[in-house]
Amino acid sequence: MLLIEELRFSWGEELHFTYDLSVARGEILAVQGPSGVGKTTLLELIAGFQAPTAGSLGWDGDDLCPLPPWQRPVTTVFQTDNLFAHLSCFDNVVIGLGPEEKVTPARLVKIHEFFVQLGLEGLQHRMPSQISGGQQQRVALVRALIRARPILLLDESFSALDWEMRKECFDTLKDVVTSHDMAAVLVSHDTRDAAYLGCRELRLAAG
Amino acid sequence: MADGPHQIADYKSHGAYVPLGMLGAVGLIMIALAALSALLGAGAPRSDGLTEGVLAGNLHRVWRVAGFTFWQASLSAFLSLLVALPVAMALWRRTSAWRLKHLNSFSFFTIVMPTTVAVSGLLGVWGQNGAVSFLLRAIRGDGLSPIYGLGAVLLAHVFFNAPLMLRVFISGLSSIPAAQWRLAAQWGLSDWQRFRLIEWPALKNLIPGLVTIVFLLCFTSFSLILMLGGGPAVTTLEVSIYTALRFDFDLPMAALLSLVQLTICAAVVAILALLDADGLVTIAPSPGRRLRQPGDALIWTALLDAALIAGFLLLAVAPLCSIILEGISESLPNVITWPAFHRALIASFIVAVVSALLATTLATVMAAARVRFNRTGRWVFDIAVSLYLAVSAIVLGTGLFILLRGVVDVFGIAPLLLLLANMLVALPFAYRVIQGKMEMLARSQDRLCASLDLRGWRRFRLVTFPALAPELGFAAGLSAALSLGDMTVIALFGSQQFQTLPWLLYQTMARYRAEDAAALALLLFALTLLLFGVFLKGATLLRGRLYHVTD
Repeated sequence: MLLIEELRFSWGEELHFTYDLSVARGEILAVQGPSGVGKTTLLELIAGFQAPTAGSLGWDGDDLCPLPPWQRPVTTVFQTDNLFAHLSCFDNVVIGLGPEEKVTPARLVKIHEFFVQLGLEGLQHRMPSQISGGQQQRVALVRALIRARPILLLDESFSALDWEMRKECFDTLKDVVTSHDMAAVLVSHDTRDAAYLGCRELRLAAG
Repeated sequence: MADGPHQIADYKSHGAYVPLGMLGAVGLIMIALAALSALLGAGAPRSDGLTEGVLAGNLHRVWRVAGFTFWQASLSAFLSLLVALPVAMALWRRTSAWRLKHLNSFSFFTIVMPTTVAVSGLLGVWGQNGAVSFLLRAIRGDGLSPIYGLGAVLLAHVFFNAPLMLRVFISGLSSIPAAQWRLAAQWGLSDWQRFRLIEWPALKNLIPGLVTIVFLLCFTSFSLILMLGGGPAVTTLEVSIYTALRFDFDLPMAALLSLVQLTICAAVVAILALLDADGLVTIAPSPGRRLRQPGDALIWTALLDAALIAGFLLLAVAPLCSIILEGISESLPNVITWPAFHRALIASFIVAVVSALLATTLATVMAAARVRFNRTGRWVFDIAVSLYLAVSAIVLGTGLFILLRGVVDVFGIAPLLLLLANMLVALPFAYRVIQGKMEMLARSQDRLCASLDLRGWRRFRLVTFPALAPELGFAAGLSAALSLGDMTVIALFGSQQFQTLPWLLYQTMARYRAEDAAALALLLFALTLLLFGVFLKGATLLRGRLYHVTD
């Protein structure tokens, strides 16, 4: 379980955030709220891009705070800049595997399945510049799913997609989160997302 | 899990870039300080009165030389601007994106051309026995008078710097959003209104930085003045330092002139830093789309544009043609067999390749370290590199000469000194090319790479190098071209045992062996283009070999 207790962070003197939440394995938590309430900051704290000033952040009882981003059991789909422009879509997915993880036949099959499920069939060898922004985000989702880290963070990752496509991504997301016992935190500004996913909502407010 | 500020590893500060970059910055500052202290030691007033004597007896000469250097550099920068700005606009109006791209590639020829080669080409066109004189003699009976002197220096500086300015202006015009051209066409703006409302706002911010950098390049110009100046009346600080050191062996005078040169250049570099001219060194502008405008069809506009473009081509292309046509002569096979040519070729090649690789590596490491620091830290890296815009090759060479002459045989270690000086002189340009892209990559990829556990060599191999390859290739190619064309440091430290191709060419020209010099100029130019091309393409080819993710 991802457990966050009294986790505090400040942007200068003005903005102070405090977080208290938990996400169980196999669960998706939708974080919502207006701009500037610290939705992305929450993900940055979990991913290790920001250091909290106080509080605790743990996964299955292990303290994540001292760990750098690459040692955390986390994978993130950012709002933008998820793909490397010089790599094909396939290579952009495979690069997400760790240095010791091999591209096994089973993984290749899995990658192909995700490409098909997310409407990306035939795009494996295209370059990011040759596909749309929405398709780029879905390639990034394939990578996140193939990495299969226990904690999945999604930062407005599907906002650019039309609703039908978004629903297909959510279906895949739900399947993977359930089958891999992952804890997912989805930052979104669209209330339909949480409703469609049937997941718990956390509404952040200013102050 | 106790309360209190948490410590996590900074995801930006991993890897060896930071210590290596800091080491590089400290080393650069130390070398510059060592050269400066040697100059101050030799040039400062001493108890024996030697330097005071030098100063008292030569102050007028120093002021005169400094004044002329300033004057010719200002005039060169202004004339280059006067040529480049209207030609850039004419080209922008009249050429397709495809042709513009090729014209831009073509302008590289003048940017990477060794100055000694350019002199040969300019003399082939504008010299007493050049193509223009030939035409004039056929028309009116007499040709041009000898081109040596201020006029020749200005012509050469415009030849070198107008294409550089042209590239930047076209880049600026390319950055105008297509919507603005649509609006201009829809509203039927006149040529003047379009210039005032659309084109000028895109160009005006580029001009101060560009003029300053061209001024600096012309201020530190050495071989052009040496070859085209034509005498003591047209001499600059650089040439005077060389004369004082190499012919008069007047170390205090050389040191004094170097300090004056250094002070003025440092002031110009400080101005350049204030102007924030980072964007001026670009690989290639990506030409944007310009819609045809109502005024384009006017006959007088078309004629004016045609005249401007033709004039520019005459200025830039004719010397190139002259180099090729005059170089392919009976002397060419003969020159290739010279033992002196072989020695100079090997020396030039080795020094160019090694100094280019060193400059590019150091620039990459420092740029990579720079992005991991805050504003103050970044400033230190920028200053360490920009020092070598102020400390020109001749000033550095003079400082090193004074510093090392009591310790080692400076002529014995001439290859090493040449290598060091060429690397340091190329470094600011290589750094500017790489640093902007590195900044952009860090901004867009640091978090992604940290989250994907892409670090160290794996990140460099799979992500950084492939993305940076065009810049690395360009920086290395430019550094190699600068090194191949350099005649400054070799003029100080060259000897019969150690000489480079530009020095051999200069000596051949000085002996009035015009045919041999033309053949040598062609060979040197071909080698420069070859090395530049190999670095440019080589980096891209190597990128393909490195980033197979599934290996």
